[in-house]
Amino acid sequence: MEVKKEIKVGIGDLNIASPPDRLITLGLGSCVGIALLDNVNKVAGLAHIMLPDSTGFTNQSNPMKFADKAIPMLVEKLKQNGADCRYLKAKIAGGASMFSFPDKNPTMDIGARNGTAVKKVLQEMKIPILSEDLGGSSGRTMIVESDTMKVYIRTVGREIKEL
Amino acid sequence: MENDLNEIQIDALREVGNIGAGNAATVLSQMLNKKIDMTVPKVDILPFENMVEQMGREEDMVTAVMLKVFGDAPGNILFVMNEETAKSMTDMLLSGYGEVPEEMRYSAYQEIGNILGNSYINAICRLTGLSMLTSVPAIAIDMLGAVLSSSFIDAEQYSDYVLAIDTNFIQDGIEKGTNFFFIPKPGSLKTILKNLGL
Repeated sequence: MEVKKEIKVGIGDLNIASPPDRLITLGLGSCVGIALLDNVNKVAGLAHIMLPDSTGFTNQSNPMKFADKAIPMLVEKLKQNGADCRYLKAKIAGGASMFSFPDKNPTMDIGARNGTAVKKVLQEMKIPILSEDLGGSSGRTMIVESDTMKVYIRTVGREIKEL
Repeated sequence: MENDLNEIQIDALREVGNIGAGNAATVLSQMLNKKIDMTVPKVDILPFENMVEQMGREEDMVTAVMLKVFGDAPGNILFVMNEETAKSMTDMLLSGYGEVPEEMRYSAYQEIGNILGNSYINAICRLTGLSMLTSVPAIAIDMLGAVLSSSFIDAEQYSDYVLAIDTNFIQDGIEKGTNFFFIPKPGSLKTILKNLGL
C-alpha cells in the first residue's frame, strides 16, 4: 500500500502534491490559504500568504508571502507538474481578525485585505473560486487531499468541515 | 534592519524587558496574592516557525490578550497562557465565586493582560523618558499559530525573522505556561536604544 505523505506548508510558503499525498497548513489567522485544484490531472497546490500586495516592499527575499506573487508562482509550479490552467479551481480560507478591538479600523484589518487581494488575483488569472471561508475571528487549519481533491477546514471547538 | 543589534544593545533591551516584566510580576503577585517571579527576559530574533516551536505547536489552544502600544515606540503587548494556566489564574482571581460564567473569565483575562501590559509599558516609559500608551485589551482563545502570526503581522513585522522581548512568569518555583511578549513595530527598538544613549 502506498504511504500517504503529509506535506506541511509554512507561513509565506507554498507547495504542491499528487495522489495520495496531502497538503496541510496550520493555524491561519489573518493569513489566507489558497488551494488550487486540477481535478483532471490530479494535482493540487496550497499557498499560505501573509500580505495582500508586494508593491512598495523593498525587501522581497521571500515573494511567497504576498498574494500577488505567491498565486502566480503556485500556478507556475502546478503547470510544471502537469496541471492545466484551464482546469484550475480555487478554494480559499483564512483572513480572520483574531483580536477584536472596539476601535477597529477597517483599512487596518489585514485579514480582510488579504481576502480581497486573493480574490482579485484569482479573478485576474481567471481561476474560479469554488468555495471560501473568510473572515470571522477564528484561526483555521487547512488540509488539501490531492486524491479526492477535497479541502477540509479545522477550527478550535468545532467539527472538521469540508470547504 | 533591526536584526543587526550588537551584544550591548541586546543586553540593554533585555534589561528594559527585565524592568518592565519585574514591575508586571509584582503587580501580578499583588493581584493573585501569590509570590510570582519571572525568568530573565530573552530578546528573540527568530524565524517565525521557531518562535512558535519554542512555545508549543501551531494548533495548541491558547488564551491570548493583546494590547496595542501607541506613542514613541509603538508595537503590541501579547500575553499568552496555555489553557491550564489561564484557568488556574482566573480561579485564583475569582476565588470566592461559586460558578464562574465564561464571560467573567474572559473579562478577568483581559484585566490581567491590561494590568500587566500597562505596568510593563509604564516601567519602560520611566526608564527611557519615552511617551507610550496602550489600547484597551482584546482577547483571543484560539490556535497558537494563528494568534502569534496575527500579532506579529499587526506590528508590521513582515520580514523572514521576527523579533520580540519575551518573559515567562514563575510561581512556586515552577515556570507557568505563560509567555509575555513585547512585539515592537519596526524602528521602535532603535528609539528605545537611542533614548538609553546606545
